[in-house]
Amino acid sequence: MIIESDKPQTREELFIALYESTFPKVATFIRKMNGSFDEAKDIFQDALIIYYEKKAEPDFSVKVDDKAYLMGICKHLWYKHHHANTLKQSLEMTAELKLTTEEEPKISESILQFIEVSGKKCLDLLKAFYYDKLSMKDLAGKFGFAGEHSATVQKYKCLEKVRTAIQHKSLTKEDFYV
Amino acid sequence: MCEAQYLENYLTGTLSPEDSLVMDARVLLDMGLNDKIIWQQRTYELVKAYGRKQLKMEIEKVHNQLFSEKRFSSFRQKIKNIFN
Repeated sequence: MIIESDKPQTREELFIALYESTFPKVATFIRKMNGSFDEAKDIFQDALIIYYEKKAEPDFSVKVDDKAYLMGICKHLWYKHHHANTLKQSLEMTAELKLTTEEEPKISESILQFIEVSGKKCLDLLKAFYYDKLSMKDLAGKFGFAGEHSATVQKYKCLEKVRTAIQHKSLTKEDFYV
Repeated sequence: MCEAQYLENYLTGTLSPEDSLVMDARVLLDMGLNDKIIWQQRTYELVKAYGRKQLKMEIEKVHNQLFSEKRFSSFRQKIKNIFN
């Protein structure tokens, strides 16, 4: 994992650095394409999410540097949103981003809010492991468990707790997805 | 190994081939187990949606900082010039 720590402080610094280094270039590109500031903002923020998720993958490596990669994602998103000539984009990038941006079902906000209220602690623990991809050791440290073993036990307890809660809350698929 | 862990191993293909086959058969026969698997998959999706939501909020916070705090005024000016 390249993002060394999941502490918001550190993540915040990372995002500020990326904004300062890359947003002006993205804004220049979007402006050239007759886009607005708001469009530049939306595209850049979506790109940061994709970038973050990709970087968190354990076997992920990029051949170009971070700024160029982020810029590439922004261009890809722009062309995608505008149905413009996507052939300009490298096939590799297009194939790679498909996984992240296009396969995801939208979870209904009401289910998410229900769990955020009833099981926030568990959700935070599960997010740290499955989304931020923290190691068991870091997870234990962050959440104050005695060691990796108790963190693992707690993680699965939480998984079961949230699973049971959403199963009881929404008995049909329609309640779950938007 | 608890049930959630066992189901996760089944879903990620990390059970032994024999155990995996046994589970395939059990899932077919046991609707309750089948439901648990479906809901566990939805739990992963939910966690991802939650992760994204939190991340979006963090990014928005950074954006607001950059476009309001004094220490970033030259950055702001740079962006302003691009859209003027």
